[in-house]
Amino acid sequence: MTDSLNRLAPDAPHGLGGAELDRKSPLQFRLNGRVIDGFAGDTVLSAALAAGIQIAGRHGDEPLALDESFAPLVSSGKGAALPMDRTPALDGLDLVTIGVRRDPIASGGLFGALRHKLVGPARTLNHRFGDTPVAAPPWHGSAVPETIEADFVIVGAGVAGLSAAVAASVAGKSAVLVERSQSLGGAIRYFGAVDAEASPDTTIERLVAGLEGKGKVTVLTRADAFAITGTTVRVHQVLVDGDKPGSRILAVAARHVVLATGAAERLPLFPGNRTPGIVGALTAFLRAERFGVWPGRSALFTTPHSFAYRLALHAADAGVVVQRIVDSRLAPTSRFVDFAKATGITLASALAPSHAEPLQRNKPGLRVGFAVAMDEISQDSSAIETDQLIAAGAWQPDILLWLRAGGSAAWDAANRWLAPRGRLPTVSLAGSAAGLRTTAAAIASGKAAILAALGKAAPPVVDHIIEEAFETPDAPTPVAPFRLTARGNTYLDRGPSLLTRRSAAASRHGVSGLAARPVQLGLGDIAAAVDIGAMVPRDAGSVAAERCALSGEITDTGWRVPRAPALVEEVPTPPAWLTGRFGEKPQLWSLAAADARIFEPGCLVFENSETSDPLKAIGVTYAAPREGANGGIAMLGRVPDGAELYVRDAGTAVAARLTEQLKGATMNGRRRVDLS
Amino acid sequence: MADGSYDHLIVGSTPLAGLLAGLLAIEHNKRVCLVGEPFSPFRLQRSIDLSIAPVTRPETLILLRRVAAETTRLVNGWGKGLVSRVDPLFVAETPQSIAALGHFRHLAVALGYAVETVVDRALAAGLIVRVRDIQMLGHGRVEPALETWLTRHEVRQLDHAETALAIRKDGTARLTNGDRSIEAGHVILAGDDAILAHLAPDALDRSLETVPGSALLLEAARPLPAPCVSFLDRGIVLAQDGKVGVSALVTGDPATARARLGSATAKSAPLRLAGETVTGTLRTTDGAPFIGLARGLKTTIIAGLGPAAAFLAPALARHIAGVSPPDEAAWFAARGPTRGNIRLQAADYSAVPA
Repeated sequence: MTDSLNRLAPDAPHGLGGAELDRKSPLQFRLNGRVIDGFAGDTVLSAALAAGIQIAGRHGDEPLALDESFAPLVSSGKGAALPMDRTPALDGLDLVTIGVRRDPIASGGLFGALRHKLVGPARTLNHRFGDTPVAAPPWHGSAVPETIEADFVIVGAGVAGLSAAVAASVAGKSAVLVERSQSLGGAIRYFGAVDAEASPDTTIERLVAGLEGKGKVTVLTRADAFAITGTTVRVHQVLVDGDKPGSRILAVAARHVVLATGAAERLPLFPGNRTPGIVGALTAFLRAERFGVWPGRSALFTTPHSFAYRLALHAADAGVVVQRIVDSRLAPTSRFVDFAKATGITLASALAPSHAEPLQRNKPGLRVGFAVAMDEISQDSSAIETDQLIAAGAWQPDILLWLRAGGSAAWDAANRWLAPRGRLPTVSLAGSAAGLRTTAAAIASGKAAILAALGKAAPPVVDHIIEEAFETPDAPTPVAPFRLTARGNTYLDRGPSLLTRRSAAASRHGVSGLAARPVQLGLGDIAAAVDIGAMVPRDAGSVAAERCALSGEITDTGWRVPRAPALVEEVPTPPAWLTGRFGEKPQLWSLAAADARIFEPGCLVFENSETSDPLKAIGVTYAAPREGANGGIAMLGRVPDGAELYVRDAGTAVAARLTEQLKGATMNGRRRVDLS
Repeated sequence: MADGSYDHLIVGSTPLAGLLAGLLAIEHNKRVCLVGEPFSPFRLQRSIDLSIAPVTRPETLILLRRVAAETTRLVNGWGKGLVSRVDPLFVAETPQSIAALGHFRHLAVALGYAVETVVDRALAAGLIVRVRDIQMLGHGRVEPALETWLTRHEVRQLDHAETALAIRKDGTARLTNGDRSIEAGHVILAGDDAILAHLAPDALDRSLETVPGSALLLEAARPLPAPCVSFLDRGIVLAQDGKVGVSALVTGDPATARARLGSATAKSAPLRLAGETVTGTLRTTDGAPFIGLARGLKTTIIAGLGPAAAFLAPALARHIAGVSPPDEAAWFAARGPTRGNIRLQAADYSAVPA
């Protein structure tokens, strides 16, 4: 560990020292008035996390962890809103977070300095999250001023996306590769290599070198592909213009789209599961590997799969005190488990977190309880205090863009995730977004997607899973027993929907909660709702297709109701809805009102003033009178004996008289509806 | 092996289909099977059910007023909070729809509805009509109660995803659900989704045409000006659900749905999209409802009833059971297939959104 409590040493083993940092280039910027120290290569989020800011704000009374999936947008005041995790930290920036904030009264000046000295630096961005959903990024509804074209657009620069880009380039086709983070390679380093596979670094180097093929590959980093229409992908990219960050929105129009968007790690379900200090295993790895960020000195691990053991082993080598690895599987088998045993790390199995809570309101650290993770058994073990809980969950293929492209999905009961279903003619999935688990299959699937789009044969994609005897299969995302007395919220996912287990469960009864809340759902929310029994599996795919739509403001884009051209007719033609209403041969008449009024279209005409029964009406006004006249033009089924009749104008019987029979087309004549 | 037979097979997933199935079974002693999609509270709302519709035929409004009271009594008997009293707004923005809505207003006043015009420039510049004391089915609450009611009366309900349906030309059908086989003497496709799923385009009457549509879930920064707002020329019906939730049904090209919605509500109640799905709907070319046989089949289809469909269920059940009183029988007779062109005498207003 370094002097900084929240960063590993630059030379930490296993590449956990922050590959993207230039530690010789320190920098400073301000965030909500607080000075943040960082290094060149940091993002605003990584620098904030390294500075000890672990809390995004409060949801009710509950502090919520600042996370890659849940961080407010920032702005320099003049510029556009930018995402913290894709915005590079630059020296001298003065940023504020956007949203409802409640900063302490004494946050700046002398009082601020005094407060800092007494209670320590602020750990929170002080946002307040109520029942109103967190606003969608403004670029979701923005116009797209710029379009670039290519043969392929590939979303995600993990090994599957890189492999697709290489295959496109080799085939002499142009491609645009869109990647959210600052670097290429995705999560392959987290998983490592199996048996004779090349190391992740070697694999990435080989693939990146392959981008220099016959066809041009344009790589867009810090770029989020958020929408897709046909084969056009809308992208928001963060750029650096001189010493200031900026952004652009562009459309990438291609002939074919490959979605290699990876898989997200789901949030284990237990009360307090978004307490600051809890982080997903993959996220913890990427923070360390890219930015050297590792809050605190001790860590607890909980996992339903074996990869978290690898991270725990590497973290221990980097100086982190690994207090325990708690596995929800019973007696798991894995080479990583064996290594962990050999290293002397305390292991526990068939346990999962039952609750978590902060140790103190304004201090880092948390207390985590565990319970037996077996059906119908909910026996608690004693709670453990730690600096950080690395909470791994099961995987969920990221198929958001697939759904937004019109693809469908269904619940995969075997894998307990939402899986893509069917095919789209111009959109393909590759890698873990397609449900593949191994590096070899991911690489093969990227290439296969390109070859298939080009009409060429590709070798079959084989996802060779290690046999169960050697590697215990992944377990579902741990779900703590439901307790009414639980203090903290159990959130369904890490995203901005802020849906809780309680509200999701209430939805089953059709009264409130998840069903009625007008909030965009994440795939993790839906998978969790299925896991806790709030949603039946058969609905999951349809709900995902409907409720993972691109959110955004519904704005006035200038659309106006089209007006039919005004007809120049001496006698206005009655509307079609009066067809047959007053007999086969209705007459058209000009009516003059007894007073100066003009009858609005639609007034009923009666023989006498006593009745108002619409079935006894002899006609209806349907057009304004001729210029200079009063009354109106009416369609009559028959003409009364006397010249006087009565027009019901909003309930009042107004005397009128017939002035002129008009010769025009009735609906029973010229403009009869043709249904033959 | 066939393990049962039914007089009527109702296909549909809307409250109309459920009510019709239950009424036929309970009130008319028919053996009924309902095939539809089980209600999911997480799915987007596919129908907004009001006890009124902006129609221009007095006989329709008279029928609706009487029958809606029956439906309201029935649903209220299932529990509290299933039907709410609302004052919907109807908005007309073109001269053609202003004339039609104006006529609706005069009809409604004459029939005793509490109707008033509203001036709200933030909403629209045309004619806005508010009708007071209208009943609206509570989405998310009615559907589970409806399923419970059907179960209590032993009306068989099958999940359409698990059921294979073979409709014969004579209007009978054979269903296969797992290893069970069921015969039905008469198929009724109740609602647009059922008709589009089970009928070939050439089996649709000439007065019917398919129109794309979409259903949206929205978050409103402010409550809507009324619990239900219907924009006739835009093909949009909005229903408030809770403080910030709004469901929207949009008829017409889904590509323009947000634009049509945005320019209608930007000033009065800014909206944010939370969910969206594309749907297919049916409309009649003459604006009148369609209750009659499909072309070349003896399958009954029910379409074009608009927002009042569910509230007309008791009259529909009587019609199908063959026990309609004369006025109802005349009403249905004029709204059947185009053969004989009787339909022409029942044309109603139908805006065609862009």
